[in-house]
Amino acid sequence: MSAGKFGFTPDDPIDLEAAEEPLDLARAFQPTPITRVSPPRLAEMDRVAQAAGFTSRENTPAAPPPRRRRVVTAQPTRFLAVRAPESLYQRFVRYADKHQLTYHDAIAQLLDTAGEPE
Amino acid sequence: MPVIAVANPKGGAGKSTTTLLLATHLASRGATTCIIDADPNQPIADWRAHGESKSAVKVVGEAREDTIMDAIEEQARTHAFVFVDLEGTASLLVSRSIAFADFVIIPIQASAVDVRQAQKAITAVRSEERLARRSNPNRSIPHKVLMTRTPAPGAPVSTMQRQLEEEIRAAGIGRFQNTLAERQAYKAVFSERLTLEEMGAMRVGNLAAAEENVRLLANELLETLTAIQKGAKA
Repeated sequence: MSAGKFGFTPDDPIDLEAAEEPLDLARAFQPTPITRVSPPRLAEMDRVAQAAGFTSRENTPAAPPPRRRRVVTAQPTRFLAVRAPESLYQRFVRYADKHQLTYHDAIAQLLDTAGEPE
Repeated sequence: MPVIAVANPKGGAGKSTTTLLLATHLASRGATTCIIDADPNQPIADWRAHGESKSAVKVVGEAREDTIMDAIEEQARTHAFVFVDLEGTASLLVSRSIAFADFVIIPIQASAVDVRQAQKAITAVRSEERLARRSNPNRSIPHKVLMTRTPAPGAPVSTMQRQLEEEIRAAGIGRFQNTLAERQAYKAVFSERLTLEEMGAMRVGNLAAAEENVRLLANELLETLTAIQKGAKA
């Protein structure tokens, strides 16, 4: 069956029949130690939960260190605006963040790596 | 037992209100009842710590991902009912509580945003249930949707609520036949930090109707839990 307006889909319908007798609360429900069939497989439980969109809020990774501050150069500077595909843009920013480089230092490092003369 | 998790990753769905009303009602009927407040805002822990309610319900606050399971097991040894009031977000604290619950209540308002978030809780219940069945084929995590902030009985019901109820039924998801209506008395429980029964002398809307609503809902919960227990013993 396809999902409806709200997106609900059938899965494991649970048929809970109503109690037939008046309920004696104290007799019907008593404290009971939890006995598990097997030890909790926490990592597997969390993996399943994460697949459903549940993530840890308590062990969030530390924010990456800030990018290195711009160094004032002796040379005059020129402005370079580059329009690039989103994926290339993200790749470049990720590279600069990873190595804690300013964008112009990142470009310089890439040119140095490529063997381009100054 | 039972351990009852009250979950919906959407905030403001009525989780804390549902938890506090049901738990204090059961406690007033003589059941040993505990609430584990796993909401970072600690609304129920605040209700207990800064209020003067004489309710016998025990409140345990400051639950964390790495302590929630120990807390549930510890309280289940001494309380007939352990409610876990969960935070309004999709966190491992929520999923771990669901995995250890005997029953999950998913409060939702009749709004598309609430419902779509509630589906995360339903998905988590189903996923954890399937995982648990690998080691215990009989393990189930029964769950029911509870419509909250609904019109009082007799008042017109919105088209969206009717559509939602029909879709929940068609999807085979359990739903409480009783709803929790929008009532001033339920808000006053938190502002006065008392139980419904303790507010008898105050003018907080139609208190008698509010108490009757909770009594009927609690009875439906008890019937559901009784059926689950019978099923587990069969």
